[in-house]
Amino acid sequence: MIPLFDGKEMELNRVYITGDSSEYTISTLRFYLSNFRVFNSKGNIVEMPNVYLFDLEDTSTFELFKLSDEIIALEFLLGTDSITNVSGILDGPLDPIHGMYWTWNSGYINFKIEGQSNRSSVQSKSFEYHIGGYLSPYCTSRKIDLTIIPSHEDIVINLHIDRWLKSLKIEQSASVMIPGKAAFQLSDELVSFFELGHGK
Amino acid sequence: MANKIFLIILSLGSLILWSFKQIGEPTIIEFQVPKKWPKPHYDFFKNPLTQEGFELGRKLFYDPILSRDSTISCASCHLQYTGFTHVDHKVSHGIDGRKGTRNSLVLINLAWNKSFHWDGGVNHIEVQGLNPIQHQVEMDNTIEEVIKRLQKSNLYLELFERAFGNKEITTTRVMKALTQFNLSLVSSNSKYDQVMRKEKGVTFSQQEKNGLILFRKNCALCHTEPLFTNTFFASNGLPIDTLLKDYGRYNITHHSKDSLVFKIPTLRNIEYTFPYMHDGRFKKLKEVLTFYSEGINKKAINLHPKLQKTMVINENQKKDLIAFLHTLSDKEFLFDKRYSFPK
Repeated sequence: MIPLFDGKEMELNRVYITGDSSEYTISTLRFYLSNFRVFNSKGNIVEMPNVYLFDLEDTSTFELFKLSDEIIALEFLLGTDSITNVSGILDGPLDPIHGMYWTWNSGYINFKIEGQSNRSSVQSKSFEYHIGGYLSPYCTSRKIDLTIIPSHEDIVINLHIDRWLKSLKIEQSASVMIPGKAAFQLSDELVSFFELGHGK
Repeated sequence: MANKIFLIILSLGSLILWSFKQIGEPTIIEFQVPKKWPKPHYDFFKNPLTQEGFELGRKLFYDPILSRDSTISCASCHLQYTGFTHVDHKVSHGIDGRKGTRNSLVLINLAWNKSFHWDGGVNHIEVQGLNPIQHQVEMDNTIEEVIKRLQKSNLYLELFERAFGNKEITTTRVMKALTQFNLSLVSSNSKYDQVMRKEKGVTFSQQEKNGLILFRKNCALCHTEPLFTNTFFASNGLPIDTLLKDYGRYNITHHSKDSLVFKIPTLRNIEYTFPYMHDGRFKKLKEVLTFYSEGINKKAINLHPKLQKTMVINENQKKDLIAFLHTLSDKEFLFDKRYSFPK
């Protein structure tokens, strides 16, 4: 899993300036990926029970799992499923210690991004989107399907952060921190920026 | 010399015995569901009650180490002898004298609760304790810091080992131990319970009997026996406090039908849990009854259908109802040493 900015691996706390003179610095990028179903060329489906917490600060979280199968398609959830959200205290990547859990309105923050941009209208020029919520009608986890042309290279999933940020109305709303309609819409938009990348 | 060797062997022996005790399996406690009560909501399978887990949970519950400056423990706002709530405080005081916005809830029969907090925002008892630990006006701490502190304590390392088999201290273990203690707080031996169980020599007075009839007619739809809550939410028509501006469950769901809707609390031990309502605005039970009979604005938003019809009760009937409510006091529970500060 590699997030990209302008086609290159994104770095934390680096100032990015885009063609339209927008500036972005990302200080936090963390999100959950779960419920992986891997389709191999023999027609089998391998289900991966793990939940992965991707953290841009920790490169050890970039590699998700290894499989020797020839993979033709991937299906996974961006975020956590509803059962995870009602299962009480959990450990590993789901330990609330990672700052990805809302205590006052129980549930996981599926996707968290924090940073600064000259497009933000708040004084500190900051923006923060904590996208979560598992209850209908504002469930924020999203299924992602990727079709893969089998090769010997590692499979890389990219998230095009620059394109996503560009699509956001940061000027109007620099902060979403609760479950609800805004978080729901954010996750709707976000999924389309996950794409299959090129192997390294 | 022989004596010395004997002594050494003896102490070696006790060391071996001691280490056996160290690695021994925790002692399982079977959770007792009182006769004729519904099945608890909590699934004990994933967190079996053990004596050691309960004791660790109790130790944590009474330990101010959980708060940023080590001044506030769970028991600061949840005192046993008042049904584990903060008696005589409309809203509770946390760290640095900061005040919350709601009346602290009782911790009674939580194994049957489906959600927690006045707004039901917390969906599982195991994650409830994260709130007071991290809330700015309560303990203002972080779970990382709590774990760091506990790891520095030999006593806690030993208690965690006894409860969970090794010295690892994690969020999960802290929360599960606290949960075990909280689940154990079962109140089922009030006079009401004894009468219902037809125990020898225990009977309601005429006044209490009258009160029970009035209760079943007017209150039991929401405050359902034997838990004295149906565990749902409702608006009882309390006008909003213009200073606190608390919309209750709406803050969680953002549904207009949840505006001014709050958890229906249990009435067990109600005699001791004053003041009443989510913001503690009523000091006496009589004020509560006067509100229900005379104070409700029938046009109040989301008012529970049962309350749309006026509750007609006279002064004597109020006394009868209060007499009945007092039969829900469970002194054995309020003074049970197992639940008290571990000495």
